[in-house]
Amino acid sequence: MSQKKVKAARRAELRAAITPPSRPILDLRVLSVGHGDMKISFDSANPQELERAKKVVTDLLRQGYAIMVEVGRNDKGPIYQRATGFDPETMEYLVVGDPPVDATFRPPQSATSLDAGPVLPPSTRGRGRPRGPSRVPASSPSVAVARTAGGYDPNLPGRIVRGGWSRA
Amino acid sequence: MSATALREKLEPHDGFADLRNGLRRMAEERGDYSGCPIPIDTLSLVIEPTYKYKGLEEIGRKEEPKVSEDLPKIRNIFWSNRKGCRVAICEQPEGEFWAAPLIGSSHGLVSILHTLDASDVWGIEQEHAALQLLGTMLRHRQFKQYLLTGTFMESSPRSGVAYVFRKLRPTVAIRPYATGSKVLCTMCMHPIGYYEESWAGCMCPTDDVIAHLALMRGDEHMFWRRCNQHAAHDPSGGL
Repeated sequence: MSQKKVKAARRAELRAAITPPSRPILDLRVLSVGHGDMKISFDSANPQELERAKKVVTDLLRQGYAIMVEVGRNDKGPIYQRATGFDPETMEYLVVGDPPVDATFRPPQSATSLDAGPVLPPSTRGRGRPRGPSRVPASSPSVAVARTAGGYDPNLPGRIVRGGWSRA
Repeated sequence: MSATALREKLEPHDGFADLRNGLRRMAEERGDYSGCPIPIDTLSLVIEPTYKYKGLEEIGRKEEPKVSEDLPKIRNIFWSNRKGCRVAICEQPEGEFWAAPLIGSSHGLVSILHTLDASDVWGIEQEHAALQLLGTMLRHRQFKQYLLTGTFMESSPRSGVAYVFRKLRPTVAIRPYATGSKVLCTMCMHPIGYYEESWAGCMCPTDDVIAHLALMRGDEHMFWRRCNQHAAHDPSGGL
């Protein structure tokens, strides 16, 4: 083999090595008991995996998983929004509205909070036209959280009785 | 070190490894993405009502004594700072109400011991995978704080509430003011299920933290809806 051919072959090898891998069509992490987190990633180079990817996301949403999709990044880190739907034709998550950065949300008053803090002045702006769902490609990093069971609450009647009680 | 090599090194020291691997394989075969919770005989498992492994709750559960109709009914239970214990509001069959202090501890030691009990079911491999995911979601300083102290803080740009996320403890919600700050409550939530009278969930500790963080960032309303809220002074809040 001539020197030129060897060089060309080496160049081709190098080009193949540095070619970026095909883009994943789905980059989803599902929190799981047995895996810690289970990475579900399908490659766009393999058309057979497309159907599986569609099925996985549709299944998860049907089973009540909350899928948090990374819709952008700022200096504080990734910005997540919950996917409310999925379009299997275009492989896109549907998330409602833009990332909201406003002070209108106030956490619900728990039995413990005594002070709700200063009252915010009423907004002078109208609500405007309701925004439709925006679309985020399924290749964005996302985390799926299963349905949650709350947590242990000893204040629920009927649970703590095991320890017995006495009259005051 | 590869995941397989890590597993081979660790599993001989872990009595629950075989059970955990078996349940993982079974869940994979059945197409369960979140896996199967592991029951322990010393702790009662509480599973989300619609999850398919709900029946596992019965393993290790003690039979509840039958309550006679003549006995007073408990209408409410709350933590009393004055008495240093939980107080039950009871109703007599005749309609008379009275308060009864409940026997129990005024600290979280029982929960700590139960959490230690539950830690047998988690694997280092799972926790390692969860830590890797958490590392991609946090800034360097937050992740360092988490590794060193098990705690990190993040404020919500939507509500202005600051959250202190803690490993194996409920998340603390704090409302900052110009003159100081106030603890709103502590928030407890576990994906799939948890072990009763402990701070342990079915998933490994960092998975619980990821669930809290992801829900807070993605849908704060849902995060508050899904969490049990404990008073700041209640020992079950872990403060």
